[in-house]
Amino acid sequence: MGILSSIVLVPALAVLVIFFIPRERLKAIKLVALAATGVTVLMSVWLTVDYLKKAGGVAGRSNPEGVDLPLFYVEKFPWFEKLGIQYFMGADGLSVLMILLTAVVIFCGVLASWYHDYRGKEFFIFLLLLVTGVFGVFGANDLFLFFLFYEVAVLPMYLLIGLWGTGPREYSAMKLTLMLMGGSALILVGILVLYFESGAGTFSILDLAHHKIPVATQAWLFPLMFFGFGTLGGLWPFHTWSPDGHASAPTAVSMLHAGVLMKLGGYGCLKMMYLMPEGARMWGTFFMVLTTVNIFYGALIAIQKTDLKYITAYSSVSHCGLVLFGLSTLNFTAMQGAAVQMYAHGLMTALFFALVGMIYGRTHTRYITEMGGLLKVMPFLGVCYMIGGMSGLGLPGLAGFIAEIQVFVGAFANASVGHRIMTILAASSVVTSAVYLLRALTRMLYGPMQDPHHEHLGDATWIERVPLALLVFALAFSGIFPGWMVRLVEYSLVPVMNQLQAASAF
Amino acid sequence: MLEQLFAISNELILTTLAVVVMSVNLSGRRNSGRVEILLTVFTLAALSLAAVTGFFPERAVFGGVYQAGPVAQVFKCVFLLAGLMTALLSWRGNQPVETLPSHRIGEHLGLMVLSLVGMCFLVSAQELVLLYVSLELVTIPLILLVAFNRRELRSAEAGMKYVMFSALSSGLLLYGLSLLYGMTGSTYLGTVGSRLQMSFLTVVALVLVMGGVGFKISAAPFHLWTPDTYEGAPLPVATFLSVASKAAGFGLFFKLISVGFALASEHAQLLVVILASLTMSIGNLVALMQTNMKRFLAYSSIAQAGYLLVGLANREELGTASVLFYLLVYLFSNIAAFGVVTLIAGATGKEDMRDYVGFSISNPGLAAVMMLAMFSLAGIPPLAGFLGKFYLFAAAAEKGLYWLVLVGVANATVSLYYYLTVLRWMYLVKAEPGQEFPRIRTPLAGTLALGFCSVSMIAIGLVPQVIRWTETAAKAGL
Repeated sequence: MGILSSIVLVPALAVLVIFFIPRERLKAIKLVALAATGVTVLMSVWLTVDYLKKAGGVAGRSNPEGVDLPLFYVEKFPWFEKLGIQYFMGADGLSVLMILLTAVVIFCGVLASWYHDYRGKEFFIFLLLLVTGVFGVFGANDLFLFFLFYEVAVLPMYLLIGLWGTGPREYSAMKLTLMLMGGSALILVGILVLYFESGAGTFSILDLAHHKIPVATQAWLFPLMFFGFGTLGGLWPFHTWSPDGHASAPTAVSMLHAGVLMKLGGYGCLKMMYLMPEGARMWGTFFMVLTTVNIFYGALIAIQKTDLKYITAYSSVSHCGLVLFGLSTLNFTAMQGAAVQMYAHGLMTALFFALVGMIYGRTHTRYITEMGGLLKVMPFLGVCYMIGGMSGLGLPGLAGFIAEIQVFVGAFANASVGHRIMTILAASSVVTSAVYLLRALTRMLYGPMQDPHHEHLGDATWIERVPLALLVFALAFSGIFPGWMVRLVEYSLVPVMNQLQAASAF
Repeated sequence: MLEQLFAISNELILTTLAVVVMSVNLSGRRNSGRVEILLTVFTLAALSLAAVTGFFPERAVFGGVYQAGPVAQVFKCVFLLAGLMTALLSWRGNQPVETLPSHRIGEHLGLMVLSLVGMCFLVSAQELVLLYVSLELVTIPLILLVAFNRRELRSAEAGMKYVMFSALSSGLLLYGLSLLYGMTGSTYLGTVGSRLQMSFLTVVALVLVMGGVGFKISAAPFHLWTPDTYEGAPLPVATFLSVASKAAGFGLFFKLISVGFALASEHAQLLVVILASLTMSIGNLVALMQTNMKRFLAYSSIAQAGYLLVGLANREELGTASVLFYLLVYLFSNIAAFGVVTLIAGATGKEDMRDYVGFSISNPGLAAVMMLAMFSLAGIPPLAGFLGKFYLFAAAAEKGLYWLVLVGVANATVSLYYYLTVLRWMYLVKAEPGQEFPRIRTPLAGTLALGFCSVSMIAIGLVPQVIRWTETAAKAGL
């Protein structure tokens, strides 16, 4: 069995093991979950290092001419022959990066839910089931398999938010599930159209890329798919599930969903640009307008929110908009930035949601107006929050900077006035981000205590410090040594770019 | 002669079984129905195994009136399995509330098996008169079964409704069939198919036949009897109705449009597409408002019939294969859902989903089965329903009916809302102290049925090769 299947299987096996542990032995259940996710972290780190080695090292460039994605660790066998569906796993650079992100985030997520005891057995079963799906999505290279894994990830989400969430949890859970399913319904239709119109007789992305999909079909199919995947990625105006869902979800689920699953939107959109380059050329500008609204609108709403989780959720909408924005510019540098942003934002959001969860667990309020002076009592949490905020602002030295600068530079490279105006608008969101992030920071961490009860609150426990430290380390490491991840995404983007260039010649 | 009898031995064994079961029921005094159930279960299991392996040879007998091809064998397997599960679910556990009068379980099983005989004849019939007679054989025992709790007003009312609608639908069908005979001068389906010319009268016959069959499969706008009948009928009977009787309707539908109206395929496709969109949309939209589990499952089964019709819009191999595949998937998913509802109703008398609060805490196993069933019906992987739906939609997409697929997936999204609502009551809503749901003791038979359904839902979803024979059957044709 290949490494990719093993990564998918580890959490699935952990689910089985937990299934047989009696529900009273919570400690054992948590340890199993932690061990399983720990193993996936090690495996994905190995995967990253090994992929870089295989693909030509940090300095090399693979496959500058061709349109084939640089896939390694391929496992391929027929699964449902009648429709040509294969179990086709294989990793290109971007999926390796995403798998690494998933592993880190879920490992931290399990640690962040260490004090989670209400119906703990079911909680960890569903959480690990969710992760199984997410790992599968990024390893899959067959559109059907990709879709299947994605839906596997949505299934536990409803119960995770609905059972263990806070606030209007039932409403949010239903809204999130239905909107995501609505988005994926569009994708399902699109997959079938791709299958029959290309005449490839297979769902394999690699094979489909070699078959020309009629331009007339692309003209309507591309926006359909982009809206489908865009819904998952928080594309305005279909982003509304995200703030409600993420605000209501339990900490680990918010971390995983906002951190990783939302990136699936961008990931899928990129695959669609790969398969339908003509469509992408036709609709690029249209989606650039929508995503500009995304970036700007998300940031504006975040400014007027006082609920810490909503602020984070809307900032996610804004930052995920940046991913889709970078992609729809069709510029290589900007797309590279967008791909790095998926990773950087994943880490950052996971850090934010972990912190919000921990702070809420102490203060029992999420409103920044009811907090103040918390830096005195919880310096560790406070400093971590600051670092996360700095990454959100795109401060050099942290991962967010590498992403944002690339997106804006790349987008500005297009000489058309419309593109430049949109780029300036989008770039100004950095300022708006500063407003909401710094405001939240100041209100929460500085100034006088709002509530005398907060005097006696403790700082993060050691178990809580591990995930925070890990995420901060990852943010800083990728910010200081960005070479490896820029290379990783480059490997995946070169074939896409080649496809797009071939399309413009047409 | 012997050869001919051997060809219909499946039906002969079933008829014998019906007679034996009813006699056993009469002979015992204080009867709990266990012997009858065991007899039925073992016979049906053996026969469905025979249907899967193709034990009985395919042979045109009685002058070509009867011929059970590979597709018919798959249909038979669906009927027999549905009968088997229903028999298991009729097992009287430790139930304070009786879903069926226990001293008459043999009678109930006997009638059910008779209806099975009709279904098996129906899918094997190659001639219009046999087709019609076997359809009546399907329906008449079902009427009795629906009104089985005759002292209960609901049951009697449901029986009455079922009679009226069946009579109407049979009339429509018979009218359509007689037009076919009048136009072609033959009652043999094959001959009818080859002689039928496109004319106004053909379209009239097509519409009449589709109307008649539409009642059987509860396609909108012919679905009105379904919720009332399911609600009033005893739960095991509703289970049987929702799966076996519906599958029989699809067998008939399939046979008529693929053989009888072979030359009028464009009109047939158009009508099927219209029926499919209507059925899916109406079933799903009305299901949103249901809280009674029986009515809820009735509307859900209407919507499911709509998805099946989507697959029927493609009359070629892929369409046939997808319909057969989905029928099996639907069988397991729907019986699992009905099974849990039956157990709950038997133990507590609760039929409203709002009373299911706290169910997942006291009965985690049963709740998990219900969750699997709901997700499978909604079409969420890795359960069988997902692949089944994908298959049906792929069949429609092959014909270029992308808009129908779009309607289908939109409906699937809507349906997710109400399937999740059931889970919401079971899992999310917290019970108030003192209002906890009692623990239900499941009889072994019920556990077996639910376990088999759950394992099948997961197994077919993960390894669809296990029902590869449906594909082979579709390839070999009717």
